[in-house]
Amino acid sequence: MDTDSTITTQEIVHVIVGGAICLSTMFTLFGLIGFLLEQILMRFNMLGVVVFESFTIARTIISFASVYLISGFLGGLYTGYFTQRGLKATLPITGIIGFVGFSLLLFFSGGSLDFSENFLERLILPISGSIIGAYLGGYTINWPSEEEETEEEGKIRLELEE
Amino acid sequence: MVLGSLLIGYIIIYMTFAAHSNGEYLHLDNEFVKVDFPRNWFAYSWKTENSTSGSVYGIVFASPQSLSAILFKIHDKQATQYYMKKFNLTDASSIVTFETERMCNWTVTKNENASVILREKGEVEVSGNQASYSKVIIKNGIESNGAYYNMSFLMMSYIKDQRLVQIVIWGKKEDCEKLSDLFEMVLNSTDIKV
Repeated sequence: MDTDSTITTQEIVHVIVGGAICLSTMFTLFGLIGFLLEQILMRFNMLGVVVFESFTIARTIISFASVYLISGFLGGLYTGYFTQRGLKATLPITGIIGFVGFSLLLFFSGGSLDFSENFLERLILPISGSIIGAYLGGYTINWPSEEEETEEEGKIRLELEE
Repeated sequence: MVLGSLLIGYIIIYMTFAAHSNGEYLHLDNEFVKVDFPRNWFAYSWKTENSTSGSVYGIVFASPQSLSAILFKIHDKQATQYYMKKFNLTDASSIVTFETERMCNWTVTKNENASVILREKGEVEVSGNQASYSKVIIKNGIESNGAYYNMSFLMMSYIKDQRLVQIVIWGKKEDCEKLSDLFEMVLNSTDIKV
């Protein structure tokens, strides 16, 4: 059995913790961004714009960037730092844990788990944002170690040739 | 990516605002209602649909600096029949009486020191339709930051083409009086598409 390719229990724990970081950041930023957006609209005397459908689209885009991408990034940073192997598997799981946990939190605070309404806003963009963010975070923290591996491989090849 | 998305979001919000701006007001025109409302007021709309009870569209406008709001509820034919059958109501006059009593009972249940100090009932023209109205002032009817204030509750209702329209203006009495001109402006600009 090739032990290098299997994910250890410790790595699973790190993935879960990364997911929890993603979830808690999502929860904090969701409320904060909503509040900030409302305050900015009030400041510019355009609070009434919230009733239009296009505002919902704008808010979804802003949430994708400022809530889900950032939450996924932070969760991915942790997961990527502690589980340097199998990132292609561990990072999306981090993002998914964050999204699922957040959906459950919203449900228990009076929301609904019916994603058929506002499918894009409630399912597609949040889950893709957290997964993309996790990838960005995980590969950002591992970028220097990948460059070192490439350099070492180059040195070994040169020595063998000599 | 983050900055790009934030920029796109901002552009969409600004374009929405510019497209619907009408001086100090925003113009909303959808399949249910056409209305102008102050641009710095909070506005929220919803629609409930049910195969048994029909569909109801609602929209509320509220000033963020005061404790008062104006609400429109538009029932389709099925929802109108369901509502009137459920509460044993016969016409617009019975509807305003029923809803006003319901509001009074609910307020008194929440605060035993609340009491009705004024009642008024009659007919009024709303958006070119003859509507029944009922108005009450409830002493200590509304609570804010631990203090109680007199509440003003005005309900107007009419039925057109078997579709019920309900309009409510309610809130702290002083705020309702201060904003009465704006509420009247919103009402006069409203065209309910029934």
